[in-house]
Amino acid sequence: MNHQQALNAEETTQPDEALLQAARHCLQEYLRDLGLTDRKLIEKMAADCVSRAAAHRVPRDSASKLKQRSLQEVLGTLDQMLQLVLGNSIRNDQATMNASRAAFLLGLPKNMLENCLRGMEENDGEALAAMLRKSMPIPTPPETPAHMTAQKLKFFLFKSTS
Amino acid sequence: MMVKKKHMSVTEKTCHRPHSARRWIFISLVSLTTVTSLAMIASAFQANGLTPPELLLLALYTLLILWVSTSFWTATMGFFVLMKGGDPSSIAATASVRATTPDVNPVAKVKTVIVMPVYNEDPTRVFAGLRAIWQSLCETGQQDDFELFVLSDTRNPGIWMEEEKNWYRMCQDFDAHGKIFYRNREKNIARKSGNIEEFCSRWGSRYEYMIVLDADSLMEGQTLAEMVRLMDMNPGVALIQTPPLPVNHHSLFARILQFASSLYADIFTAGSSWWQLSDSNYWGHNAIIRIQPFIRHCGLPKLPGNEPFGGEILSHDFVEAALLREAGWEVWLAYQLKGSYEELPPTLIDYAKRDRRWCQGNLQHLRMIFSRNISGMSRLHFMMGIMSYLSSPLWLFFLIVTGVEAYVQSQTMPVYFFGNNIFPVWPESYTVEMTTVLMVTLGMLFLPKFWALVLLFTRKRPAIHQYGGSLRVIASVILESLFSILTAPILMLYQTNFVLSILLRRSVGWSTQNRDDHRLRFREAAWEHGGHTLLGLLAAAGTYYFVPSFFWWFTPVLLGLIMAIPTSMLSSSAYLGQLTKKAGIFLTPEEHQKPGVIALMEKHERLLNKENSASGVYAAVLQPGACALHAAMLPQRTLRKRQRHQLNALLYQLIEEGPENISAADKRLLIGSPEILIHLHTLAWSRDP
Repeated sequence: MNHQQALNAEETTQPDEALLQAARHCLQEYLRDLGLTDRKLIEKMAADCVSRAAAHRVPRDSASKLKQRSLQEVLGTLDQMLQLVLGNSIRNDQATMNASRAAFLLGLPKNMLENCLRGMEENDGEALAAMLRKSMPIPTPPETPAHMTAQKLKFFLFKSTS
Repeated sequence: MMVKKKHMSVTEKTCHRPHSARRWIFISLVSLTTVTSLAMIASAFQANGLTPPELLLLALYTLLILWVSTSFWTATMGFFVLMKGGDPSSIAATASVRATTPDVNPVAKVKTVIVMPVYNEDPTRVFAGLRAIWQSLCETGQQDDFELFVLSDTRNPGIWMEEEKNWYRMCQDFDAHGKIFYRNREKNIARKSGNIEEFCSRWGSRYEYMIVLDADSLMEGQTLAEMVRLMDMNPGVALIQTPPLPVNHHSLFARILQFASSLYADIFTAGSSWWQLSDSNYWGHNAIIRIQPFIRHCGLPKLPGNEPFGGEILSHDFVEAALLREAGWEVWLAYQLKGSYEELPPTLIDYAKRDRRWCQGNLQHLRMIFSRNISGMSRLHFMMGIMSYLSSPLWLFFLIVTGVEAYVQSQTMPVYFFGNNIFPVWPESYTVEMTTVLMVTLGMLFLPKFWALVLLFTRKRPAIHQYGGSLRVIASVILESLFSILTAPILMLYQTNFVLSILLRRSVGWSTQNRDDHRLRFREAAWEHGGHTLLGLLAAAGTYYFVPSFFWWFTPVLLGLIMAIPTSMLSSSAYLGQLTKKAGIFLTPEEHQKPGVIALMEKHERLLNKENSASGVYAAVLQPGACALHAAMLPQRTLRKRQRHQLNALLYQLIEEGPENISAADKRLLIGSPEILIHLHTLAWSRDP
């Protein structure tokens, strides 16, 4: 077995149950931090995300890597939900995507995520989209450029500004 | 200066103001006082001909008495103005529009923007203040005419993310998305003036007026609306400064200064406004500015040469006001406008540290005095700024020369028989003249306090109980005077040290101010004031041994220096501050009944303190909402390959060496990339507990 084969064998092996359990535990904590309270929903979502993450190449002994991938799965799920609500066009618009994610996590009531993950009616989606658009951060208004020219100062005895 | 009078003020054409007469009266009074004092002291010196040390003393005394009498006559004029019930020529007395063609900005979309430049400040305090201001404005019903802009120069990555979160929450709570804005400058060039300049260049034309605040400013909504009304009424005015009253601190030091400002400031501001009229000055915050003239005339250049005298203009406010005045615009101090507040440093040491920055900024104006084509008033403003710091080394030098001269005199044997006199010639006594000079000087220093008391007991009688009642306010004035006598020599040494280090070309950094109440420990006080105490003891021993007659005159100065450590420690105590407050000493109307905006700020501060429990960049990166918001606030740009590699290298350094081994600037770089930020977020969550 050459070096590369040895590495591949190490990386592609399915993580053991202890690692999966640790990742699920981490995710559950993360989901609670996002505002979820429904225990069953939390456990199901954590399990789903961890199993999807475990399907990727993960170093067999790296709990941290597995947790990271699982967390990315949660964020991916969130983004998919936002695309569903706001339309697929935001997928390629990173600014709007980031803004809607911020609005979703900071601007909406905490139970909204839970309701969304349970599944939405069409009307709910429209209402949510309106709420999201209203809560999107607008850091600055459109620019109205003007040039402030540095004034020339002339001095007696001292060197003047150029 | 190259700036010419391009714009002839509209108000100047329509309204003749009594500038010249008032200024002549003022200058005459100052000159007369100086000349009289000088004549008295010179007559004492001249008896045996003037010696070089006596000439030096006269020169120093002239400068000092000029400074003292300027301040005295300003206060005295203010006293008369307020006793008369106000100045009908002041800006705040404007009742109708003073021109037919207001100079409006045709492209302005919103009338006024309130800007708050911040730099590594406590986000809870900053946003509690902003919330209070905005809520107070909403209560006037005029919030539609305003927008608010937080201009962050913050470098600390944790504070940066906290600011963003607080800003977003504020937008949510006031339903003000698209009304309240936030931007963090990538490079903080030219400090605060560069921050404002960058704002004006990017968004200034969107607005007619800009109200500039400081991080610790508080303003009532009604005051903001009144400032805008005054600008509307006076199209030739480019800037109106309100006098900010210090409030909110609980340490004994801050309470004494708050009391002094509350009681005495009115006569000084009314007096300044009386003789400066439309040639007043700008103090950097709590002022409204007409944006178009500011954009046209107030772009600041870098001064040739290195810091501290060259480089970026530190005290930009005086220079901006001068540029506006020289361009023909009016600059006013609206002394009648209340509801404008700021905070003071809570301890003597913090106060001195703040002075260090201001000192450099003001001394840099030495060069501005030599500007070509600026008016006498602008030169005078620069000189007054310089003298507020230069007076300290001058006083110290004066005391030293006086001591040396007294010693020399004490060693001189009197000669009773000289020339052809057969009778002894007794040495003349000039005790009366010298005592008069001393009394005049002391009188000019302390009379303004008396004027303020007279004003309180005559024109402002209803306010007496807000100062704790007749006896307590008198006691407070006496105690405040004693405290100022004790601290004046300490500040004199501090400022002398600052001036000397600046003259030796040691520049000052840009550090965040300490604004929170905190009790000084002995070690800190001893470290800061040990030198003052030692110098006081040496000077006491020296004068007592060599010039015992001079020693007793010198005791107020010596006592202040010897007592520096306990004075500084005790005055930093919030407990003593509260104790004196309970006793009704140093009470101010603002403490007696909190103004609306201060009460609102305290309410918001309590709420935000609960919400902002965790702080630091690690805590912020852990929060999914804060991370998402930060990613949304970052400019969307594609990284170059090299930048990506650099960031990845930093990321690996962070993983291997831990966050404590990464500099704040590198952390800022890392969280400046949305992809790396999300990576950090998942990394932080996946760390083993």
